[in-house]
Amino acid sequence: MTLKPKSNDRSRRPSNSWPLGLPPLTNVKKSWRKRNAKNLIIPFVTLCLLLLYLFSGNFKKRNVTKKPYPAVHGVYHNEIPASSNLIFPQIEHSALLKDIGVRGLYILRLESDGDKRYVLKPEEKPLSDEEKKKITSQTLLVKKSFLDHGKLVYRKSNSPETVVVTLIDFENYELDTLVSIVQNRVDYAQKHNYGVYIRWIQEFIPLLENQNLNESGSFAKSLIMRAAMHAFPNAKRFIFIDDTSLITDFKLSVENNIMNSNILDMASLKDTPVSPNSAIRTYNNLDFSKVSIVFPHNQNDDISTSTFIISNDIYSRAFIEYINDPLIKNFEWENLAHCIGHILQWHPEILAKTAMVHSKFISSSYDPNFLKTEKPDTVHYTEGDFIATFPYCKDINSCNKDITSLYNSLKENKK
Amino acid sequence: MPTVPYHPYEGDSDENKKKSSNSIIRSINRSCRRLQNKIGYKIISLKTGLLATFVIVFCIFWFGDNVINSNLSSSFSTSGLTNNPDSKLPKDLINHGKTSWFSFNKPPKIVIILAANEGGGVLRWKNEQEWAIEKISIANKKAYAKRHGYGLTIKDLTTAKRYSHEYRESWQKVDILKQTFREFPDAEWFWWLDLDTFIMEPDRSLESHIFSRVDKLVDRTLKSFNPLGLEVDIPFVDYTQDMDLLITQDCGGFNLGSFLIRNSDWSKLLLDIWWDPAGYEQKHMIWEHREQDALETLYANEAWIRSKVGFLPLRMINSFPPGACSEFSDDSRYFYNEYARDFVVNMAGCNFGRDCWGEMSHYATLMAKTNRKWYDRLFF
Repeated sequence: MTLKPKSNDRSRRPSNSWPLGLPPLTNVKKSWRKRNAKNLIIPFVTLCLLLLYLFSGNFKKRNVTKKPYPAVHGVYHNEIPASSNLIFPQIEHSALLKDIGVRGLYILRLESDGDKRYVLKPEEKPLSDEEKKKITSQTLLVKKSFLDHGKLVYRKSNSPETVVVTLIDFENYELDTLVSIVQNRVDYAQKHNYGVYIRWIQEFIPLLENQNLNESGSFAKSLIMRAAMHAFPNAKRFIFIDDTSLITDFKLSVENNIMNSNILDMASLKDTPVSPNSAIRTYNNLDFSKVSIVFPHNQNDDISTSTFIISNDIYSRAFIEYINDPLIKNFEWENLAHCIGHILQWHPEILAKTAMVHSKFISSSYDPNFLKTEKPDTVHYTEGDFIATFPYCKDINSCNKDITSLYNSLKENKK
Repeated sequence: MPTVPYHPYEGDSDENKKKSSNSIIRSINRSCRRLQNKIGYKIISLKTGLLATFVIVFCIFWFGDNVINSNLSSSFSTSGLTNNPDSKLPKDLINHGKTSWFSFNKPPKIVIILAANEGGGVLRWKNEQEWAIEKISIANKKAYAKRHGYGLTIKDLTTAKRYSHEYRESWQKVDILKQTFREFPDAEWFWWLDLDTFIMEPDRSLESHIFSRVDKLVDRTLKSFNPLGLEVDIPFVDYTQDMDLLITQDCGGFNLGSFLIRNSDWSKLLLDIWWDPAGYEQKHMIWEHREQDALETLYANEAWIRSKVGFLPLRMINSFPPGACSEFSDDSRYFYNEYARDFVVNMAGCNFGRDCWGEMSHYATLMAKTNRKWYDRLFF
């Protein structure tokens, strides 16, 4: 006797509809037939939109069309991948190169203003090995290998962290000296798994406005540093060591014994005029873990460029490229150090990333007489220093003798 | 006996109770079902309408999001540079559309720098038209910044003694930028605007107008437009880096009347490098446009600068009135086009023989006309 409403309760009738108004399956066909095309448009559009939404992620990735920008290249448009991270020229060519002379290596172009300038051909393609075999003239082979050396770039995955950079000169050095210089860098680099980037200073003549190396040769240092940054794009830092210097203590590493923020803090000159008599002084509270550039002061309290360190970051890149800007490079500076002094005084953003260090820290001047008699100071070399340099050897023309003798004595000490 | 009726009674009452409770449940069920059915039928009868509304709302959110979100991320994430830790995705820019709904007190991500009070009446009187231009220009940027949640800082360009040489005065711009960088350390981008500019399309945000499609808009290699004839291919330029400076070129070279600069280490370094007495010494008689020429020289020779500069088409943020670049009056790349609804007009050089006030009032009227909405008619 339960109450059973007959016709009122429509929910009991399965034929009509389900509670939420959805037709049961049996009715789908009927309703499907009933519907005309007009009613189907909106569900269809919805379905399309849903599918489009779900797959739009895939479409977009394909749709992003990057503009084809030219790849980074150095001074030369064509480059040769280097097989080893030790990039140095064939030193045995030095005598022949000296014979050929700079005049024979480059084209001398007469400018409209009557100036004669050596010019570089950036588009020139490097010689392939086969072409090299075909060349019979030793002179031409030496010339080509000289012109191709700058095209070497290291692009392998296991990039060295530090690269030792040096400029060598075939006009003023004998073969023995050149071998000592290069061997010294290579031995040191191999011990610490560093890279080496050595080039002839004569390779940079066409890039200098004043093409007399005796006057503007120091600016080749900033040019080679930029080239080194390009040759080793994944290295962290680059240490330039002048050809009048030798690494004397192979145990010291750049990242642990030089760029370590605590050591750098102790070695650096704080609140010291950037150049002699300058009103601009080095910062007192530098964050040494963020230092990008390291320069030593020489005994005259001026900036020395015999050894310096730059990092592979925006500050060093800007600093080096700013020096290399013709507007700056071709100004009447006495030398590179004068130019750097100016830049550090006028551009606080760069000075804030620069550590000025005592000469002895990365560039001790070597004086055999001093070694015997005087007490150690912050300038002169004593045993255990990282790098020894002969700051005046070029003036008295004793570089060849000084370097080979120091190199040989270092070799003996090691034995 | 007393127990006899009790039991059936009890049973009866139990049954009754059951019955009554059943009937309550049933009636509840019934009313529920009725309600459900009613709702069901309502839904059935309205389903097309509901679906359509849903689709429309969905589309609005989807496409609305897209303009800001996906394009931005695609345009900014293209950089493959590893040795530049500072170039991170500007997340706040990407999420701008979302966060701005909830965060009213956050520092702005885009700050407009308006250089006002040029000269400041130091060397000559400031006339009433100049005052009026200033008022209109400021009001225009104020309304724009407010509308899109940008910051606005108005900087005073009064002639000052510390810029002892006329040539040095142009670097006031650089000093102001440095100062503003310090003022808004959380901002991502700064948009420099000269006083003689007018935003013609205030409903366009910088995100949708520039940042979302910056890769498509910019020319980085100078190949398409090179009025200065600069060397196109210089060594060491890396175009995979993010752009930190978006400027335009007019018929005479770089134009710094309206440009965008990112708040980055690179930008700070550029602002620091920009002024150098060595450049002044050599070029102060040659560089007519001073700081603009200095930037052109830096761009021409230094790869670290070129790697991060992008050139927007002039009409994107800096279109000219017909009076400027008048030698090139046939070239449609320079001039404001009312029908193309160009974004900003820059009355550059209007104080050299042209009528600044006339131009400013013309464009202000034009802006009001082109941006008139249909519902405005109801009130006027």
